[in-house]
Amino acid sequence: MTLNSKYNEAMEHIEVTPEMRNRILENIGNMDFAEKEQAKNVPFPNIKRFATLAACFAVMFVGALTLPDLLNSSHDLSTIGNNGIVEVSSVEALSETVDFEVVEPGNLPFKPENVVYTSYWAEMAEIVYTNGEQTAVFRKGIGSDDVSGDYNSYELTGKISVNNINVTLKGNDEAYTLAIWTDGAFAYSLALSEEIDETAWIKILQTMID
Amino acid sequence: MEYCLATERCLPSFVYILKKLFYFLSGILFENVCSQTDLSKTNDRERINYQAERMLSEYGNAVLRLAYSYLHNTADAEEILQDTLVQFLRTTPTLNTKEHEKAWLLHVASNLSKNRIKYNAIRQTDELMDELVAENRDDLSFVWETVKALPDKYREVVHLFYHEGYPTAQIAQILEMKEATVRSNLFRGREKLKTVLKEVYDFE
Repeated sequence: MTLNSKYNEAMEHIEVTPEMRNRILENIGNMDFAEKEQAKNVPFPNIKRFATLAACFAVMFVGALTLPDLLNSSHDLSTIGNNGIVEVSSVEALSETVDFEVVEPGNLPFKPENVVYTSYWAEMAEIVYTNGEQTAVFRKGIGSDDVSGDYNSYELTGKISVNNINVTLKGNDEAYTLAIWTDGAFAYSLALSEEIDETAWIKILQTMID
Repeated sequence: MEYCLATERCLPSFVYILKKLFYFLSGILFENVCSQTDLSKTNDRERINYQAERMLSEYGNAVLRLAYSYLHNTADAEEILQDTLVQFLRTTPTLNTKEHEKAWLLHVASNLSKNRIKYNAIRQTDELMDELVAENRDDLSFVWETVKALPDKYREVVHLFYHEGYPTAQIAQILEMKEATVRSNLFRGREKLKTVLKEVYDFE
């Protein structure tokens, strides 16, 4: 006798009854789906349409005039990014660009061969460490919202305290790949490509949390 | 004189080109808005009702059972089923096959169920258990009670693997986790079941 056949037999007791079906269809029938769609389709005033056209032409015109100058400028393009994203060459330069102190994580589980320091709109600092196989991404941003940019769902979530700062660890299979924490003024995250256990995380975090 | 004639010859074509350019740009700007307006005007209730009925007929039981496996009561499972359908009707995802459609619904239902557990907002009744007990199906109530007692992460893979018949790779996609994790959870879930059921039953 197999358990799965018994389980399936039990599950067959759960089904959408005609009453349930009617209830759901009636509820859905009473919902206003059009309202949502209309909300997205805000009428665009005529004047704005033409203003948009004019703006497009203006941007093209200004771009055509200024682009050659920009390309021939003497600035070091490797350190100047677009839209406020600036790549710099050291953690000191990064701290200067974002205008707050950035401390590099120590005790990483691998030896980095390449490090990239980036400032995002002078609001968030990011350091990416790679060695070809493994990656570590450290972020520090103004405010207390999660800055990790990692929206994966993890089956494992742990809470630890390092020097009185609460750190949330996320991962799978009894090890963690992501740590997020905040000190109130800044939010921090460190994401690793390979999972490590809680003890190893504490060793890293102690180098960053005073 | 020649200059004037040349201007007269060129001017109409220049105006024509300008008109064409204007119509082209207007088309780009207005087309999307117009089509969306038409769509909202023809936001036919019939289409939505038809979709809802089709979804209920084809996947209602599967979604309801998955939700029940998480929440253990009919009222909550029914709400998850309804919310899942509403999310489908609102987002109208592009899904090429019925398998994808079902997997999408199970994925959403799983997330909605877990959210409900997370916020501890589930009811404390178990109509399935009541029904099995009323029918004197001790064998089934014993099995359900054992599966129900599993941790959520084991129960969800056990349900999708044994009841829905999904391979571990597809379960990994539905639950957004690594296949290795699915395999490990499935293994551990089975081990726990074996321990409790003391080999009265076995999974195939």
